[in-house]
This record gives sequence, structure tokens and C-alpha cells, in this order.
Amino acid sequence: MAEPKAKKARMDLGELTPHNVKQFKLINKIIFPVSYSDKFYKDAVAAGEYARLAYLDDLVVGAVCCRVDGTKIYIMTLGCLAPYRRLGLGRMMVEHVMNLARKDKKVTAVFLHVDVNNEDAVEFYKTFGFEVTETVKGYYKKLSPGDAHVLEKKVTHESEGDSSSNGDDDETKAAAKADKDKDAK
Amino acid sequence: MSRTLPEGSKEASLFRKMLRSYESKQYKAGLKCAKSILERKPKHGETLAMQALITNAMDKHDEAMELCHEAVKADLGSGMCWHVRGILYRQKCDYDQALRSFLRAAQIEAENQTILRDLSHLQVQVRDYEGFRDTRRKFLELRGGVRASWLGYGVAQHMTGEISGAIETMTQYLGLQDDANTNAYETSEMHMYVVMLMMANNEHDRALTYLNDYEEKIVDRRSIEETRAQLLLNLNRHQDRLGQRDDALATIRRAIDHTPTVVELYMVEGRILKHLGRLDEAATQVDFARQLDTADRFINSKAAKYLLRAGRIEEGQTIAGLFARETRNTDPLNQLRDMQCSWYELECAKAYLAKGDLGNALAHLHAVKSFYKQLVDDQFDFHSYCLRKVNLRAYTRLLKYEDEAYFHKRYVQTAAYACSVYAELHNNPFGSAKEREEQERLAKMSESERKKYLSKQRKAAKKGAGKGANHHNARGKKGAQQDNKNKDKEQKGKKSKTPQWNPNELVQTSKALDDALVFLQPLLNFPAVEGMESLLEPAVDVLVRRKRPLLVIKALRTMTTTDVPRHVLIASTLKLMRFISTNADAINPTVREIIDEELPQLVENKSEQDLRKELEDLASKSLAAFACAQLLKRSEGVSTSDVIAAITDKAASLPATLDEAAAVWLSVANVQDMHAGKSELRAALQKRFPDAHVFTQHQLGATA
Repeated sequence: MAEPKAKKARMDLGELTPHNVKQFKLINKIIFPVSYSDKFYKDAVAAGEYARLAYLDDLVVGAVCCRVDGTKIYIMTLGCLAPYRRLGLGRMMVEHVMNLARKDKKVTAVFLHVDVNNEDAVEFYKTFGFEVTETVKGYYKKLSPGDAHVLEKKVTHESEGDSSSNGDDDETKAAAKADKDKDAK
Repeated sequence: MSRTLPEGSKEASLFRKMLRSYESKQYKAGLKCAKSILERKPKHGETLAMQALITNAMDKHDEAMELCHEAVKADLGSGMCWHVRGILYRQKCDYDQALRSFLRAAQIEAENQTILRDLSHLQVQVRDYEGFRDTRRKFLELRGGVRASWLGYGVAQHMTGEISGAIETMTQYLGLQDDANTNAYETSEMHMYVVMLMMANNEHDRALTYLNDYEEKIVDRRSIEETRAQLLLNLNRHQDRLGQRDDALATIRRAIDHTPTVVELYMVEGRILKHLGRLDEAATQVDFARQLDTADRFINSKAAKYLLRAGRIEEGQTIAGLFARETRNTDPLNQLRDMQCSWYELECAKAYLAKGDLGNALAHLHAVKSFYKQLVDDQFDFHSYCLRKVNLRAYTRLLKYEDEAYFHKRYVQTAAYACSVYAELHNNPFGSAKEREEQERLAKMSESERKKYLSKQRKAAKKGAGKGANHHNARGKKGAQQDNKNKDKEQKGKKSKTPQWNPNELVQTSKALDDALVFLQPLLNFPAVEGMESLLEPAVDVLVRRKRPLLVIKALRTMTTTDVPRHVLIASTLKLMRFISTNADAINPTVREIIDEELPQLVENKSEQDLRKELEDLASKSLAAFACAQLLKRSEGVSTSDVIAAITDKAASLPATLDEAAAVWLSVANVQDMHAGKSELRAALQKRFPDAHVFTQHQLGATA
């Protein structure tokens, strides 16, 4: 007979492969109001570290996919199934993207679009130090009104000096605190 | 403090001082007190016991044990003396003696919590759960205000298997406790424990409700979600087992909504749908599961199997080939055959049977048979090798294994299908329905109608001949396509040396009974192995036709010891009886003697008349028995169309499960001498089981 596990579940990121890409599609279909093309998924499978599935133990419960856009990294999708939110999976995915950005010297910022009505998401990214830099009218064609905020976070590279990396640490701590506050609610 | 020292006496105050010294680890001072008391009151038991305890604390264990024995001897009625004895034995890991001592101590001082606590800990240590529960119950009665008392009793009940009691204890306590003063984590843990107890008690529904009700008190969100997903799965299995399939389906769909990426959930959904007879949807869901993880061979095989069961043969074969294709570069289905993938061949055979395509079904059944034959033939390599290399144990194990190779469930099933197909083909060659139907049609016409009809037919035949049609191709375009396909297969087969069987040749056999016997040969002792119950009836059909009454007796004997329905035993026995009465002169007298001796024993000495009466009785109570009795009449001169009509007549009213109805359908649908009336039976069964998909697969006359 199955009993509730006493141990804490393990959170991890896993590769996206042709074998499990359907899970990625399924997650996106549930989380996002827009649907993505077959090409999007074909590219995602080939995107290496830029696309990851989020695991809670052996369950796929979230996914992130981004690409390099000039000197910035653009997050195309990042999300987690509703019952598994506020466990730290979103944070794990954002940190993964930030780490990718820090590793690549020419990357100056990470940015993404968020539906203006999705306050939770805007709030979520703000805890990591993202800021609204622009609001695009009618960005989502299938939504009404479909306006989107552009959220952006500058990337500082370690070689640029100690002070900057300290700054990063502080931000991470602040984000962790914000996360904890959310959990307590 | 000591019940044998008068309150206010000098000794009593010394005793108190001794206890204090022990507790503050001033052992020397303690021993001094003991000495003073013993000077005034020699052999004072409880003082001796304390002396033993203190001496023990000073690591002088042997001396302590001696003192303790002296103490108990001096004061057998002292709980304290026995308690100390228990403590010393416990330290020596002599739990048996320790337990006796604590029990005695607890008997004397029933309300001493220290003793009860020590006793209960020892009881749980030695897994005396019942004793543990009783002690924890006493403890709870004494100290109901303490949380540990409740939890201890609850856990004890859990361990003795009184899970409902444990749930009651826990919920009672949780109802009493003041949340404001309780650590949120601990409260959460207690609620989760209740959920776990409910799950252990198979109350999945209640556990789910409880989890929802107390969600806000449970701090560990992750374990809530994980438990909920598990719970849903469990509840679901439970409902599926109980036959509450619609509930089960609703539950699994809730689980899928909750976490749609869990491949197993779709597999479970598929299984439930399959149990509901909704084979097509089942296959779709399991195939969806396959797409979620295309690297999983297990799920891939399952998907192939479900697709084949749903009659989606091409899709199933393609999926089955996916994992074979990666290994080598030839046709994946040949690969599967080279790999001797017997489950796949058997599923294909079943799928073709369900469709009515007996030729292709036989081809796959022959493939399975060849795998088993190969397995047995391969032994030769070992006879000389093993003796030369002295692998005697492995060799003898192998021989034993090979003896029973054909007893495998899958082979037994293969033989069962082969026998039922060949038994039918023996009397009613493939495609014979058209001629019979024609005859019946003519018989019903008046003289003038018949003339008109026949001349029309002749004209049509002339026209047809002009287009190059001949009798062989009367089966139509589909049959011809099949031939071409098989030619392709044969050519491919030559290239890859993969064994192939020609479905058309197989189905047009002129020696159906011989063909059946080849399948039956290794099983003629009819051992009561798994799957045998499905083989016996068709085996009897083959053996009666083949005039082998003694083997029929053997099969009937196994029928009486395996799970074969009574109506099958009776119908089979009647077939043998009929054979005996119509072949009375031809039967060897010795054989006759054996039959006369054995047969009555198999049917409790009942006469043929009694058996017919009993079968009639059974037939009035179940569709399966009714169909069985009706099909028996075919061998007794009743026309097949009358038999089909009679079964159709009762298809809606006689009791039947879906599985039984499906079996009835298949046995009628694959009758070869008559197709008329089958679609009416199908409609009646479909109306009775509107969701079921098993009745739609058969093509009736279309492949004939």
C-alpha cells in the first residue's frame, strides 16, 4: 500500500528530447493561452540548455524555454502546473536562465513579455529584480485587450568587479525572502 | 516514597535523600543512605532495589544484579523492586526477563506512569503490539491531557491493525487540541498521519475529503499535492477493482487534470476504458501516454497491444515495430518475428479473429507455435555440450524447463484459438456461407421464383466471366489485394529468411483437423495449467471430430478440475455421448470399456437425458449457457441460421456480463457456414452494451 512519502520531493531540471517533447507541449497547452507552432517545438528540442523541463521527483510539472536575441536572452515560455506553484520550481527555472546569461559574456539582459492582466506573473518576476521597461499594445493577438509588459533584468558579469556579484547575492536573498513570504500566505 | 517505611520515620527521610542523590548522580551519598537504612532495617527490599540501581549506575552490573535479586526476594509485592529488575534486564538486552518484570511491576502499581511508560516502550521494541496497545490505553486513561498519550494510543492501534480505532483516536484528539498553542508543523503532521491511516484503511474517498477539509492546516504543500495525486490513483484502482468503473473513470480524470504529465495516469484510464469495453478510446489514451514518453519500451508495447485489441491493426503493428526498427534495417515486423515476439503475434492473431480474418489469424498463430518449437528444438545443442562440460545442474534444470515449455499460458491460448478455428473450418470450409445461404434462399422460393432467380444469376455470371472474374476471385477485390500483399511479404520473407505463412493457403486447408492436432500435440495430457480452461472446449471439438474418444475423456477430466463453466462441461460431454452412440460399432471394445468406466464419473452418473435437462436449465439463466446450448445443436442437425436467430432472440434478455457477451459474439461471428442474421445479433448486443466497442470490429462476410 502506498503511503505518503516522508522525504521531501526533489526538484530538478531535465533535458528536453524528441522523446518527451509531448510533455512540454502538454504543459504549455495547459498554462498558456497561446499555442505554439510545430517549429517552436522543433527548435526547442534543439535548444540544449535553453530549454529545460522542471521535475518534482519524477514528475514533469513545469518547463522553461528561451533563446538568444541579439545581446539579450528572451524567455519564450516559463511556467509550472497550478498545483505545484510556490514550491520553488519557478525560481529554479528563472535562476537557470540567469545563470545562462551570466555565463555568456555578450549577454547584457534577460527579458520577456507578460500579459498586463497577469499580475501574479508580473509580481513573480519583480521579486527577481525584473522591471517593466515598456508596455506593448495588442501584443497577444488572440487575447483581448492583449497588451503586454516587457520585463527586463540587466545581467552583470563576475569579471566586472566584486561589487556587482555582491549585488547579485543581495538580490537573490531578497527574492528568496519574497518567495518565503508568498509561501507563508 | 517507600510503601514499607512509615511516613515521618528517620528511615523514610533517608530513603527520600537516597532518591534525590540518585537523581543528582551523587551515587556515593546515595549508597551511604542505603547503608544507614539497611543497618536499621536489614533486608529492606525497596532500599536494596535502590542500592542495586545506584550500583548499576556506577557500572558494577553484576553486583547490581545480585542486589536486585535480593531485593525482589525480600519484597515480592513491591512494584519498585520489580521495576528495577526490569531496568537491569533491559540493560542486559534480556528483553524477555525485562518484560516479565515490568508486567509484574505494572500489575502491582497499575497507575505508575513511569512503569507504564517503560513497559510500553519495551512492548513496542519486542513488537508485542497488543500489549503495547493495552498499556498505551491505560496511559491515556491516566493522562488524557497529554498529547503523547493520545498519539501513543493511536499509533498502537495502527500497529495492531485497528486502523479505524486509530483514526478515531487521532481525530478525537485533533478535535480537542487548541490550534493556537500548537506548533503548526506538528498539527500538519498529525493531519497527514490521519490521511495516511485512511489510505491504509482503503478509505481513499474519505482521505481525499479529509485532505481537502484540512488543507489549510497542512503546511507541507508538496506532500499534500503528492499525496493527493497518489490518493487519486489509489481510489481509482480501488473503484476499478470493485467494478465502480464510472466512478473510477471520473477519479482518474480528476487526477489527470491535477497533473496531466503523469504517463501512468493515462495507462490507468486506458485500463478502465478497456474494462468498460470502450477499446477504441482505451487505445487512444494509452497511445497518448506513449507519445508523452516515446523512449519507454513498456508503454510502447502496451500501446501496440491496446491498438490491436481495438482492431486498429495497422496502427498497432506500426507502433510495435517502432522499437524493433532501431535495431536493424529491414522490415520491423519481420524483426519482431525474428525476435520471436510471441505476445505480439498472439495479439495480432486475436485482432484478426475479432475481425473475422481467419487466414491472417492462423498465420500469426503458426508464428507463435514456431517460436515454442524452436525453443524446444534448441535443446539439442545442450545434450552433448552440457555432458561434456559437466554443467549437470543447469542441464537438468533445462530439461525440466523444456518439458513444460508448451505449458506456458501464451502457447495454451495459441492452441485454443487454433483449435477453435480449425474445428470450425473442418465442417464448414472458409467461404462456405455463400453457397449455404444460396441454398436456403432457393429453398424458400416458389418454383417460378426460383427459375427467374437462377436465370438472372446465370446472366450475371456470364457478365462477370467477361470481366475475367473466376470462382477463386469471387471473394472480391479485397481478397485479391490480400493475395498481392502476401506475395510481397513472401518475397520480403525470402530475403530476410523470416518465416512466413500464407493466410489464404492456411485458411483453405483440406486437413484442418491434422493442422489443429499439431498445435494440440504437446498438450494432449491436458495439464491443469493457466489458460487450460479456454483450450479444453475447442480441443474436445477437434478430438471428437478426429474420433479420439480417450483423449476427449482426458480433456473432460481436466475440465472437472479447472475453472470451466458447467454448461461447457455438459455440452462437451454430450458431444462425446453423441459420438459414441453414432459410432458404436466402430469403437474398439477395450476403448469402449474404458469409456464406460470413466465417463459416468465425470458427470456424477447422470444420463444423457439428465444432462440435456440440466443444460436447458442453465440456458434459461445465462446468455453464455444459452449460446453454448444453441451452438451444440448445429452438430445435431439444426441449421446455423436458426441457431443465430435463437441467440439473437435472447441477446437482450438473458443475464450476461460484457465479457460473456463478447465471447458469445465471437463464437457466433466466426461461424463459417452462415453470415445471415449475424448483423442482427450484433445490433442486439450493441444496443445492450452501447459503449462497448468489441462488437463493431467484425467484418462479417466481408473478408470471406
